[in-house]
Amino acid sequence: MVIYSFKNFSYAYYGVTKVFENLNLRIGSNNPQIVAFVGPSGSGKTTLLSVMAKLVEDYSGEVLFEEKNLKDWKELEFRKKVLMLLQSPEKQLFEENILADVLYTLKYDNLTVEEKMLKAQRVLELVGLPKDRWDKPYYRLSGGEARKAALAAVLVKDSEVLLLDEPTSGIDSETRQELYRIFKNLKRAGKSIFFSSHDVYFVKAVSDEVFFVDNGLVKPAENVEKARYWGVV
Amino acid sequence: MSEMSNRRIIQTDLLVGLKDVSVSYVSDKVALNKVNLKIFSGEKIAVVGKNGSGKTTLGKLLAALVEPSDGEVVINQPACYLFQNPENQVVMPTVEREVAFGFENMAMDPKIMHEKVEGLLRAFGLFKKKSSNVEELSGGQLQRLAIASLVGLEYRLFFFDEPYAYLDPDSVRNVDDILNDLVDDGVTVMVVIHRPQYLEKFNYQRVLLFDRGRLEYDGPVGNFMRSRKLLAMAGWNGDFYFKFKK
Repeated sequence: MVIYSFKNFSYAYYGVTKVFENLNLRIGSNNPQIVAFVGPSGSGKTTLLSVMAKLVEDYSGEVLFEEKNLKDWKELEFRKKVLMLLQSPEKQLFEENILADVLYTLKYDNLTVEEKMLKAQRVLELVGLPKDRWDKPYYRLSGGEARKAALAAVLVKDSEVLLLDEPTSGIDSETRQELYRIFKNLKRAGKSIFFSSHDVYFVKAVSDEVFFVDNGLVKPAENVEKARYWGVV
Repeated sequence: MSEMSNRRIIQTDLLVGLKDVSVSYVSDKVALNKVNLKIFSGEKIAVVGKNGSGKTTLGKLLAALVEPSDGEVVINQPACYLFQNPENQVVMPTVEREVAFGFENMAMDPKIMHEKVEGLLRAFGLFKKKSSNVEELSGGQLQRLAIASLVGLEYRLFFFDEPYAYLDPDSVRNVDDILNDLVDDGVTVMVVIHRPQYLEKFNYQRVLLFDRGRLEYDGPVGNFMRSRKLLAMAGWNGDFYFKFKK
């Protein structure tokens, strides 16, 4: 089943600056898979992911998720399946410490307190955050540590689909390598990941499919000269 | 001499000198631990290390945004600091006003300021966006704006905290060309980088490697890149760049 379909999809910032016009695209047809979006700054990668996350809805045309119009999905039902990591981690961290931030994601899950705590601790260890950082609020962490914390808060939910906006920005190489293993493990567990990145080597290493976003178009990267020039494919 | 005589800040001819400098935060975390360092003019220096190793604290120390808790800091001029997250840097509502902000604070002649602002906007590919609200910018555009708003200012030392983050490959090269122009003018740029390809492909002269607050290496790029031990300390062993480079 194709995960996402765009039909005559058009979007303009503030209704004025055109980003996409009559885009027709099917992505995620080999579920589960890891799909990367690359392209110049300002080309619309974040917008695309935000639409896929149902965070942006003032577009024209249709976007289908699992063959159903995204606008017809009930919020809670959709959020059980799809979660997004934003580009700036501080935008999704707001509790008194990062352990609480991760637990917040599980707030309405039908789990005991102990089960939630265990899941949260495991995912914080998974992203490589040492225990002495868990009781700190995000603003007391380094930039890379805060990004790991935000990633943990998304991974703990065990969603079918993860949307990640520049997950490798600001993280060190070791964490990037760990992220690679996490991506592969998630795929083995049946999850699909869609992410944007400028990190050419990470994209090459981890992706099943790469799309190049530029000038309102979204094309398979192997068909785009600039993508080859950048070394993405 | 002040009662805090074990931490002095002295103005001399030396660009930057740190002697046994430590920085601790209120949480008692030691962010920098007995760092000894001298910075001279016209250098292009890479600052590397894992997350939380002290790189950002170094930059903030040189920009006088944090104080040392121990040791001696000698500063000729404070560093101009680029924040890791451009959203923490950009303060004005539009692109043009953001670039002009620094010059306005210098009471620059309006005609000269206008020329400088236009030049920087063109150099960073932001001219068409000059009247745009900063909220409309992508992450990469915001990063370019944050850098553009600093490089025109008359500092002799810049500390760029991950300037290549959020930038596509073309923009990375463009920014690096601009950094090289600064170095050619005798300005020192210190750049935090997380990707070994930037160290190899861009002509950095010197590497500072931080690990758990300590300066573990200060020397040429070549020696650093040939040392498995140092690469491991930076967390770069096994980086995807080396796998594809083969």
